[in-house]
Amino acid sequence: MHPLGSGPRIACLLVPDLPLQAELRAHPEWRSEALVVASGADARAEVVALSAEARAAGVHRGTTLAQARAVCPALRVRVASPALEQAARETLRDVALSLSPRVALGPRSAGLFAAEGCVFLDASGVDSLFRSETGFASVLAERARKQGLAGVVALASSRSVALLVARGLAGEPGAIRVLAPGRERDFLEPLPLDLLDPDDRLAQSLTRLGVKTVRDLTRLPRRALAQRLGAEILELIDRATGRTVEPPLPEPRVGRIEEGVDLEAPIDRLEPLGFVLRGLISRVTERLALRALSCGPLEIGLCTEGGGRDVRRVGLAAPTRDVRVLLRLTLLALQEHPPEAPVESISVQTEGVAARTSQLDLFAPPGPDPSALDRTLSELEALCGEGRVGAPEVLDTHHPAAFSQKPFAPSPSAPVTETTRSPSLLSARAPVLRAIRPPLHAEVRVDRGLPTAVRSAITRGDVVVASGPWRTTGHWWSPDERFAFDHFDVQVSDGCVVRLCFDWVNRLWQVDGVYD
Amino acid sequence: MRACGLPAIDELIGGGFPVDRLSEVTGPVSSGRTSVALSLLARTTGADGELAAVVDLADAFDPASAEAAGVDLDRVLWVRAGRLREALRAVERLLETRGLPLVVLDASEPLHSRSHPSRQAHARGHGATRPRRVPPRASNETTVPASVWIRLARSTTTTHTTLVVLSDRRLTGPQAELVLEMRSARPRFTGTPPLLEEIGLRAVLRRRRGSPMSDPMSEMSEVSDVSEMSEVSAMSEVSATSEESNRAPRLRIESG
Repeated sequence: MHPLGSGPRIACLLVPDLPLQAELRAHPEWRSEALVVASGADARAEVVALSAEARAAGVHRGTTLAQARAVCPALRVRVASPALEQAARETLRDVALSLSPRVALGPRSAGLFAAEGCVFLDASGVDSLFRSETGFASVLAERARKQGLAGVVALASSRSVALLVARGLAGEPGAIRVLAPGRERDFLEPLPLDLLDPDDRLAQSLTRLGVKTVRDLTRLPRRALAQRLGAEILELIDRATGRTVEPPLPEPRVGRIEEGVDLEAPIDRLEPLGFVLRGLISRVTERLALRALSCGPLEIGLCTEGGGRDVRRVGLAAPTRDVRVLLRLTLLALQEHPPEAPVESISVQTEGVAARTSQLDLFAPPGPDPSALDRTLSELEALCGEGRVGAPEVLDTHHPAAFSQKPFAPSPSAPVTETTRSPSLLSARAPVLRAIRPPLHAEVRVDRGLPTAVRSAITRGDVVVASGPWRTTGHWWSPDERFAFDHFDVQVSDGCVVRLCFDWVNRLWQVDGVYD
Repeated sequence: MRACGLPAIDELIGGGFPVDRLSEVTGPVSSGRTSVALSLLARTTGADGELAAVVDLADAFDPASAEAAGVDLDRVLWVRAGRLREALRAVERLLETRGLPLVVLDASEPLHSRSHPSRQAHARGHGATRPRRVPPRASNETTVPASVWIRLARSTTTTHTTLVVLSDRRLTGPQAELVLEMRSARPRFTGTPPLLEEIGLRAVLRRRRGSPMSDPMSEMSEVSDVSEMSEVSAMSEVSATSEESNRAPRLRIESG
């Protein structure tokens, strides 16, 4: 919605050389090198995007790799990676969504603007939040730059005009231009027609007519032009004058975050894989920060030599954006089950999860800061292993050794009252058992169904008193899971009070707990 | 003071475990260390509604027992550390988090790691001149550098956390503000057939800094433990509620 009485305001964030920016985002160490992104690896492949250093060395867009290498022998060449470009486009959308709810990625262009990537966002009413539209555009450009995508920002009354203005700024990295409503015509008229990206047939016809700028085009009679050049010219004129009818920008549904990279050479060791993963995870967390979310369980996709595909899921005790913790957990998962062949490409996917928040209560004891607690939980899981950190849970089963751990997410504290401090709560005490996992083997002498002597690793002696048997059975319908135990609470002459257990399925005696 | 909810023990240790300090509860198997720890957890999480963490080196925490003892399991963070080094790192990290008022480190020897007596006999039978010493832990981490306990003790002060270490033998050295030694428990079976009715605990206060019982000079010198400073003959009985099963014995606390 735009303010009453004024038209819509659309911002366009344009990255003129997206394949190059996508590569530099994945490999920031190449920023000062002569780098080109080519359409293929063979000598006849064309240069799609190139760095300023390569341009300074005499390389141009559209030249073949053989020509480019002849001009600049030290040229670093990368083949355009669809995975990296897609991740860069998604990042552009995340940047836009961090500032506006209505966002649309620009369509992929062909020809002259095939390398550009752009995103449109609704900028109506932003001057009240950012003091001015220029301030808003600066924040937008800065956020994109922080994500490794240097682009230009234009603000106008429609998408087509904003895109034209942004294309006009493409030669000045980081440039910002805000067109006030009603001043589009003055700005657009001197622009060259190439910025409108007409198709080849139309471009040739207009060149033959001597039409080079928007002003030249708008001076010609519409009807006559349409009769000679077809209906396409009318659409071109509308775009050139900002009179295109455009649908409102949608509110997109954000999905999973994915970052991937195709490796130059297959990797078969964990250490170099860690360097690659650090970059991927770091980019994922930066995008999550834009969405104000934390990282949920990670999904690591590995394409191995020979066409193999391996997907690993890395669980987290709590959502976090700590790269160190996420990397450590990922490496532990890979260490446990290393890839079967050298890895050719890696991808990291995750679902953004809302970070925990807490409302302080005047009458309840304060707990730890939720984000600090989440970070700690993740670090502890990285330290102790997956599934070893959490809140204990008693399972709904009769199996004496059953337990589980669930994610530690304590509910807000209930205010402490005299009722909750009731002494009856403290007096309701059962015997405290200390579990032995796994149970210890025991040798037991039995007389008339009761143990009379015990020998095991923790206790040895005659049984002074035995209480039992207490029989528990379950899962009798499942050959693998069925259990039947006879338990005895036993005081042994050496002072230990243990829980003896006869396992009827395996027919052996065990000590599975100590009263302590 | 952080009272554990067992009146005789609380009385013995001067009202409870010192807040923001490191305390240690030692004792052999079946001495009642776990009873004291669970009671403290129950008081902290159940009655006071606070959070607590258990770093369990022995992997001996029994959720069912804890729940029966009144512990609010949702408020307990259970960290099952496999090695002593991991357990100590976990404790340090939990202390750094701030906001967890109680951290219990169960540093007792894992019971399942003990070898069976038949294996010891087997070792003797093959020419061993002395009974084979059972290593306290499988790894080479039986001793903890004193600097670790110094660091943890300092962290408890700065982060306002009560750290309680459960151990078979003294681990923390002079860094513990309070050392409670548990002696072999006295179980009581009643009825026919017999039921495990009560477990009597016997505790001796081995060390208490700042206690009116202790000599200030011994506090400062920290050379050796203060020997049996307290002989409390008080005995209290905590009755079981009717909801408990016929197996559930009562817990009898006997100090001194």
